[in-house]
Amino acid sequence: MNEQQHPENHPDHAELHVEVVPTGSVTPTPFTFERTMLVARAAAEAAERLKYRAKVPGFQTENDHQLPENETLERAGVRDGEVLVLIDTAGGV
Amino acid sequence: MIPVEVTLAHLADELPPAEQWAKAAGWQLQLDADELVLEAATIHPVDHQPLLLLAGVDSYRALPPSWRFADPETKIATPRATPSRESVHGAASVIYGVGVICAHFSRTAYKGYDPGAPHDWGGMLSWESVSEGVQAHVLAEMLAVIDQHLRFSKGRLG
Repeated sequence: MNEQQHPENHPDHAELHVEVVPTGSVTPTPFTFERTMLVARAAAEAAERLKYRAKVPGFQTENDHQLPENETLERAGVRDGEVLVLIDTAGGV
Repeated sequence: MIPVEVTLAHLADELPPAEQWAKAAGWQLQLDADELVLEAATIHPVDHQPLLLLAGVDSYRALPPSWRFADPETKIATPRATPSRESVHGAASVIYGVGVICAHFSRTAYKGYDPGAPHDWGGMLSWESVSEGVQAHVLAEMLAVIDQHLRFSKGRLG
């Protein structure tokens, strides 16, 4: 496969368009992330923009599957158009 | 204590979004405005029997709500009324034990509420600035965190 055939090398395919809903909310906000962005970084970016005061921001799917923080969004299986719930992955104390 | 009118004003701001979230998440909320107690009802994810989460919201937001699971009939915290505490993706659950939700946003976690409670954290009045553990700063977020941790419960404490 030559370089041009890699989806991540195409400008439109290098990005993921998702909807982010902070926990406790029902209102999604559209976000665009690089596919290669780490889950933790994307979640932190979303938390900052949405003013969600999480100690350790993270994402889970609508089916309660928590995305691995040190994987890229692409490797974590995030799909274009997916709804991600922004959570605080810190636990009780 | 802060004036009831102040607490009711905070609740008027925070309850509508909390009710929106609750409706989507399978909870039913009811505020007893005379007693200043919030009742949140749902079912256990495994046994599918009723669960009742109570929160005294007197002096809210000077003090955090007194979140605890209680018997749906007697309104008393019991082992049977309390979901079991399970790890949440390797982290501790906020569902701590009978009558205690262990998080900065829960009055029942503070020694100032109950000397047998786990934490001091500088006192209940400091609840909004406590940085330890999972964070929630409005009623909808608090309910969503408890719900998130409840989904890992496999049973009840008794």
